[in-house]
Amino acid sequence: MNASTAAPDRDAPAASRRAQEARTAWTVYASLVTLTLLSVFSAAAGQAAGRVLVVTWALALAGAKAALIGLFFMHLLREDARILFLVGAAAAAVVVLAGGLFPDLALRLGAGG
Amino acid sequence: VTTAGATATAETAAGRVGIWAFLVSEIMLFGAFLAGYVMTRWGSATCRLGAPAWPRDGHEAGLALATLNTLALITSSFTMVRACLAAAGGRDAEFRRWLGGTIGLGAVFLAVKAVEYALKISHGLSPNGAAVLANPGLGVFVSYYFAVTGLHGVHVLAGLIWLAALAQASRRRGAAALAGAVEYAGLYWHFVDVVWVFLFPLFYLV
Repeated sequence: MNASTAAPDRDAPAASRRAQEARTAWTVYASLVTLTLLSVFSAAAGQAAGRVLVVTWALALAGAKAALIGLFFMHLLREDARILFLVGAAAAAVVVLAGGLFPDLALRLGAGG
Repeated sequence: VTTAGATATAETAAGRVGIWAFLVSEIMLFGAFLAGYVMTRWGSATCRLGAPAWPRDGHEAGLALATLNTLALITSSFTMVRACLAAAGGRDAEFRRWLGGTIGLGAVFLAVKAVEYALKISHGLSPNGAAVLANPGLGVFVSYYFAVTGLHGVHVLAGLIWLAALAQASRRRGAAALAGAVEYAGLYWHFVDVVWVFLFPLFYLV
């Protein structure tokens, strides 16, 4: 096999993978736009549902959008273990540190705050 | 795989670890601001978390601008993905088109943010504005708003400078030679988008 025919053969799987990624990007983009519009309209419609529900719903939609961007656009879905460990450690640290605020939050809620 | 190819692959992998380590430090930075913000608003009598804290004056216009900005940033993330794919495939013209779109949308984001700041200030909603002085409890919310969205805006501006440098470099070296660098810039740009994804509901919807 000469060089001129070998190069396209080697590149074909990569080109196919990139085409698949482009199609996935369109789907993820459409999902992100839909979730954004849903968060705007549901926030306006749901103010009577109570503050905990409104905040939880808004943050859940934001979390879903962040997950889509992280998993597909930032490729965490197929990232190697070192990077997953880095991101996991940071996410765990944020959860633990923010979680440390909850006793104060519970105290304020208990006092009617 | 050639020795040069293996070296380039190893450099790209090491670079990804490096850029992710940087992004992790950014997660901690924005995480600290947002945790403080949530706690402050939860305990506030003036701007309790659970309903938009903005006074009615100008809130709808501000929300419309912020929604437009959210869509601009999300679209720029999509165009950035396409730019990365074009660079990896060595398609120069396509790469410059998608990267130009990303830069344009980032510039739109900053321009809309400037208009929104002007709108807020015209309604007395600045740390020293009339509406805030008349309602001191609102000052904490307004200060958080300018501090955190300003910090995010600086990150967008830094990203735009990075992307513009890549666009310039691609004219000399071609997109394929920059595929690794474009991937790093893309990761940073998507991170900036993720931060805004959380700022949008926290500052405009709840």
